[in-house]
Amino acid sequence: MTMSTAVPGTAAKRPFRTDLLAWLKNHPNVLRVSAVVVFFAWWEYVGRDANPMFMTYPSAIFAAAVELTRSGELPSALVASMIPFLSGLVISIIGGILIGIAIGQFWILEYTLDPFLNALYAIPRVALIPLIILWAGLETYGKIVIIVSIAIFPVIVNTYSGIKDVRGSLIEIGRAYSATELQIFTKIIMPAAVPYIMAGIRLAVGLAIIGIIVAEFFTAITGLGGIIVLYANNFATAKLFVPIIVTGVLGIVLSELTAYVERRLSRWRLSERERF
Amino acid sequence: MAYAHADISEPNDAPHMLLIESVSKSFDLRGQGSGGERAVLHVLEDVTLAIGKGEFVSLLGASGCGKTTLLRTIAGLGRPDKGTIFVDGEPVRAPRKDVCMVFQNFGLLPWRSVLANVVFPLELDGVSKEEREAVAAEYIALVGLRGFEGHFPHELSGGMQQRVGIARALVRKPLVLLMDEPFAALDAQTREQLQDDFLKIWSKLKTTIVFVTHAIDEALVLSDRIVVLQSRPGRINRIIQSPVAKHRMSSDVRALQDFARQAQEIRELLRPERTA
Repeated sequence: MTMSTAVPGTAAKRPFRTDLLAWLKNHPNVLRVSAVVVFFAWWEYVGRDANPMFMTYPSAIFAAAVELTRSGELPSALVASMIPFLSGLVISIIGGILIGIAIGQFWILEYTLDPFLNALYAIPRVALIPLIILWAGLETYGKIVIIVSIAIFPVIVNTYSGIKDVRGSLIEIGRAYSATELQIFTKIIMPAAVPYIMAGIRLAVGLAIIGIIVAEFFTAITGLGGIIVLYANNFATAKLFVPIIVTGVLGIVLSELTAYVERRLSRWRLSERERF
Repeated sequence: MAYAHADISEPNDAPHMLLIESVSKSFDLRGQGSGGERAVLHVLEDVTLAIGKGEFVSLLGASGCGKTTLLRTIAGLGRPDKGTIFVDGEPVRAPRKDVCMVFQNFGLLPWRSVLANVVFPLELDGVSKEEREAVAAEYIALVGLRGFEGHFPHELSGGMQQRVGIARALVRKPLVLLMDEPFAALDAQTREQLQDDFLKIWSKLKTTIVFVTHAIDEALVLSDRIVVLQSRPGRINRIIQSPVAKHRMSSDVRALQDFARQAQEIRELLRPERTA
């Protein structure tokens, strides 16, 4: 406000280099974009000389992407991946929150489910995939089960700790104002746990993307993971890169989206932390 | 005169709003005694106190004298081991809707705006949205926070947060207002400002108030009677009729000679406990 009046002349006296560095520091996207552009230019230059069996270059990937989209191969793979991905993610979020609430609120469930959840969490879920495929098949259903087996855990764990970490002083406010147990749960415990749950969902989104690709590696018939395996086996490197990039873009978009929702819902908590 | 009851030497003449009848409470200090023997801390021992309708009473004592325990017991947040507490002639067994609490650390729900915090008790009571917001707006104005309805607790100073806490406690138009060192967390200037403003609010509403504090001057500025507690076991040392109560609305009693004399007297009363 009134403090921000700059002393005239100071900016002019500073050497140009310092000014440039300060400007770059304040505009991080300039370096980010330049770095990416330089990287792609370098890749294009070096990639053209490499053996196309093992390496490719951006313009070839772009051409492959156009071709795969025209032929309908990429869109149908995307749909084949997105249906189990979204179903698995939604099931993980809803199921994870419900299980987290159940074990957070009822000690009988907590103690009885504890050993099973710990065991499942400890086993690398990839180790279970052959078994899941045996039980649930190679198609959508099997993929959903694989995704849920991977993505549900952070939601369960975060919902549980969110509920357990609610400060006693917050619950006491409810008691002092004669809230019922249900009101304490819906109006104090759940809102207080939202930031934890959102952090769990953000982790689940990342894990669900890994889950769908891993699932399709094993089933290796359909979806983005399926065409990755297919073109890797055919040494069609340019085409191989297309689903990889699509997956990466998908991951960035979804995690940014979740992070945005998370920030909106957890704003009170972040700024509360800053105070102390 | 409006504060006539403050001058009555026998406050029991007024109808009792709050009656504390030989209340005792002790806590087990397990594992603190040597050889696993049980150590018992007598927090309150045989405390009897009658508080009249519209009276402003302070519970004053050093930390550990059981004043907060007594307040929580009045609030129905803890049951006494012996004795009974009556509010408006009825024994207290659980928190009552017409006994409201102002907390030391403000006790606001950090994810709720000022308005949403103030409506909270009415929301629990199932009051319609329009009605509770109208009532809340009235009390938000009373505590001087008009224009801050949409702010969140972390955006407010400590003094403003406690104003929200006071407004929230008043929306139910309680018979008894319990205040647990409400201004202790504030800096000296803000504390005096809130004391003065709160006196004005109280003079309009005439709610019966039980005010816990460890600050002698605060008890003298605000209350009709000061109940000096001593610790281990916590019991009433002396009940003092404030000599400056009749002037408190018209002038700054902190400057009066009676004030200094009385403060010194209470300081002497509390002294042996400090060295203990």
